Amino acid sequence: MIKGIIIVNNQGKPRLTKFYQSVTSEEKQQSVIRRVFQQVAQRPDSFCNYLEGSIPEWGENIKLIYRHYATLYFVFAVDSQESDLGILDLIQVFVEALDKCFENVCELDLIFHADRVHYVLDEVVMGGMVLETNINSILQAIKDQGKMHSDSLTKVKPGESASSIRERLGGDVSKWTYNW
Amino acid sequence: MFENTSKLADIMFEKTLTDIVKGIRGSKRDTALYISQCIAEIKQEINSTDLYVKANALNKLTFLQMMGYGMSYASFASIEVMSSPRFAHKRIGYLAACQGFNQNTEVILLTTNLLQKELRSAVGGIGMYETGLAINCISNIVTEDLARDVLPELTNLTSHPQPYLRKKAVLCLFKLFMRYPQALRLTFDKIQKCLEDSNSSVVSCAVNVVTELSDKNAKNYLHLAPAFFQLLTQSQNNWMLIKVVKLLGSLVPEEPRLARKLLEPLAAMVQSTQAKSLLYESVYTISLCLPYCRKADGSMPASVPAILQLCGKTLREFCADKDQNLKYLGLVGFSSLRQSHPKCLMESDARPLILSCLSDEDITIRKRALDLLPGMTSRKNLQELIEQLLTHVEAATGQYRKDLVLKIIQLCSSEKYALLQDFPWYLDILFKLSFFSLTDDLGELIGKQITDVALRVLPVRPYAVKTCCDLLAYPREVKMLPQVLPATAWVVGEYADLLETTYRDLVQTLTSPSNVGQLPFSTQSVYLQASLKIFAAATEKATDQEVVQCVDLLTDNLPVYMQSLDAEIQERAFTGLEIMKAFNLTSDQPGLTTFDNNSAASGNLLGMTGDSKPTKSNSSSIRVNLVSTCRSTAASLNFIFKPEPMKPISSKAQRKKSQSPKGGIDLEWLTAPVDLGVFSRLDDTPSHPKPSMEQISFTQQQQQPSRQPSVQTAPVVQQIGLNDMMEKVPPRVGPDINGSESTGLNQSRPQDPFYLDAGNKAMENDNPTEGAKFGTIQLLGSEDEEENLALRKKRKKDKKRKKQKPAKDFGISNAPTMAVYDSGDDDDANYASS
Repeated sequence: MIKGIIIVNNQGKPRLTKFYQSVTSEEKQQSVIRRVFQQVAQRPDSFCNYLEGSIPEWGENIKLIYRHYATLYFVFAVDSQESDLGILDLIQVFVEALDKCFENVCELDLIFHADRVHYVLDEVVMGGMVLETNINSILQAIKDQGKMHSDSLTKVKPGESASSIRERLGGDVSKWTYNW
Repeated sequence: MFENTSKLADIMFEKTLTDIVKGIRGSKRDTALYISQCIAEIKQEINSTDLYVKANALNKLTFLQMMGYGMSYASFASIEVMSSPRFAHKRIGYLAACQGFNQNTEVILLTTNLLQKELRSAVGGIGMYETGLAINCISNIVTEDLARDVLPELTNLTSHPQPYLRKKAVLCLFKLFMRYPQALRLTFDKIQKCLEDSNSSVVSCAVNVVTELSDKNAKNYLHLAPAFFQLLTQSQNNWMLIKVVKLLGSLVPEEPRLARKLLEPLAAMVQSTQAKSLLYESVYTISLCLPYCRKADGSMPASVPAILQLCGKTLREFCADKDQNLKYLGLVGFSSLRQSHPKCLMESDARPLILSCLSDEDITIRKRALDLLPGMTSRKNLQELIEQLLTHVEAATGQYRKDLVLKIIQLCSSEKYALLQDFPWYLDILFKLSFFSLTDDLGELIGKQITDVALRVLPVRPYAVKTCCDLLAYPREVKMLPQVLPATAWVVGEYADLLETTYRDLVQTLTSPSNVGQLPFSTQSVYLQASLKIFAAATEKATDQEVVQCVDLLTDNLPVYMQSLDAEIQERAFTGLEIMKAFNLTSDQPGLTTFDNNSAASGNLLGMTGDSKPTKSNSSSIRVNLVSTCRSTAASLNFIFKPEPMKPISSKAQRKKSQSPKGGIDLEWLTAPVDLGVFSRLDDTPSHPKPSMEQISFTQQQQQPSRQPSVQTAPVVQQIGLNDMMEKVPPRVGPDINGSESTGLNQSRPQDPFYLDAGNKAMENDNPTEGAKFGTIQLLGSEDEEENLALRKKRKKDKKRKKQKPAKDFGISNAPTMAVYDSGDDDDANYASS
């Protein structure tokens, strides 16, 4: 199981935090984030991506598997049930998905649209278990939900999204005739 | 109209998430102030009736939670937003719940209806995402009650036409099992069905769930092994294959025969797959299987050496790879392989690889390489390996240094120093280590090793003693591990007969208060004892002058320690001094020598001009006497301080020694009945009339005449059923009382330490008392009575069991073959049939 996912930047500021094994108070969460950052930031890029762990809030035998992309550290805290190389691949898949959703994703995207990052993550990992590893399925789900999201915010009756009304009316607006 | 404009105005005045982020980035100096302003606004907005405003506030709050600001006051608002018909709001509400709720959030029970509704109304097409959101939320916040309530709907969803919902539902079921374990039995057949789903993602998720479950209790899932075998050979999805391989690996400890069956397909996988992750998992699982592959006759199957070769080759390729991750995994794989084949690393090409890993910059890799060292060392390479490790110790810090030192000691001392040939060299290593700054427990370990080596290895003792002397002579400024000093002192003391150097200097080092007073008390006490031992050796071997000097030193210095704060030191100093006095070994006028020297040097200090010479001769004659006394007491002294050379005795020898008693022990007294005359002192009153009810005192225990079984009147103080117990005086004691009357007491057993002559007479007179005493004791022993009953019942049962045993044995031998697919759990049978 994945105990938690943390994305921090090079200065230690958290960009996304997801605690699957709950850490009950905000102070404890922040201390976990700090500890993860301290351990991960010490390692230069030439080192391997595995840190055998000492995060007491999550228990013993926790490995921190991380990847460093430009200014961000993507850290997955896993127990022994997860495949080490598999999780590295999973991080790659996650970042690729973000890339497709945000178009050449950079740290600013994560800062301003943290909620959208959560939505993407929820398609890859659910409740600490790996849900989907195929990039196409992930992207399809995100695209569909994004459409639902924007449709639902236009002020029409729910269940009758703007796009469906348009379709019902025949699609091409220029062909509409007015019956005054 | 107005409504709309005011709403519009509201929206325009509220900050969005983007505004907050910009604001935080802009307010470099007063970020905290800005955020607290925002939070104040959020608190207001969250109570608004407009869902848009609420949702917006919740969105901002979720962002701030990531920075450490609590959002527990927004729990109810989360639920309101979750129930919005708009998808966007639902998303926001669910996300806030996932981030903000924990197991103790009270409002979770308010979500039950909402979530049940969402799960029930799962539609196909694009509407399935709403249900998906609900499932996601459940997997993050579920509690036991919620689990129980949503279980039926969730289980239904595992057979929904949409694979998207099926996979989510299956995965979520695991989270339910974690909180509400009874759910597992009710729904496990659905998970099994999902294992045969047409959609590979669903199958993957089902495999994931079963893997996690079998990690907790593998027995229950043994019967699925054939299905997983199928998946292993047929599936193409690497991720799922990894999980299947892991799962089969976790089943192997429960069903060892599976191990042998797995070897072939896993080896095939190792050879065919391209994916490094799957390759590694296969090799790792093979290494997990190998310990269980032994056949009944103890041999390994024929395919094992080839497979071992294959694994070794793969792992070596990993270790040699430039990719640090692969190196790390190679090392992990080797340490797992060593569990079943400890010698797998002895081949020459693996060794340089691992040694190079030892010098890697990455501490994770170094640690793993260190763990592999015991598999690689042999007699020949031990020394150079350890010397290289020593250089590492200098450079290392913290935990890694500790690990290094421990590993060095472990390598050298494993299996009673099997690998070590040059013990003086090892002692040197230990002494070198004691100059590093290490923790206390490591210091103790080094000290123990020094004493251990000196104890066990006779040839090295002279060298040990010599080096320890040198060590002790080091000035205090040289930093040494404090726990090593007592060990060196002990070695010097114990083997003082091997000393070549001056005894006097040693005694000086070990006893002079300026040197020793600063050391910890335990060290001081060892020093004192050692100095006495050295003195004992000196009386035998040293020159006359040295003996005298030692005596003087001891007489001067020991009294200082009698004032020490520590009781042990006081005691040792005192005992030592008294022994010396008892043997007349002290110089009666301790100041005489110094006085003498002074007066001789400076002339007439006290005006005793003429006396100097005679006193000198006097003193010298006293000295000669002293020396001769010392010499004559040498044997006794040595006996006192070192009666028998210590040597380690193996546990087997110890057992044998204790089993065979020395000849002539009369063991009859062990089996003879207990002589209760010993307890004559318990009897306060000489006469024992039958107590009437009025005489019963609840504060004082009276003697009751209860030896005759017919005695019915028992004090009320006793327990109710005691009368019956009185009659059922246990046979082992009752007849013995009679017996003791006739036999035990009348036999004369003067050598029995518990046999009291006076008590004998008292016994004869006070027979009823004796029985009465027994009666009182019986009060406390009423539990014994019950125990005896229980014992008797147990004996009866044992007899019955013995009779039945032959038949049972017959049954048992058949059981194992059937046990495999019979999980043995009744409940499992229940659900299987449901």
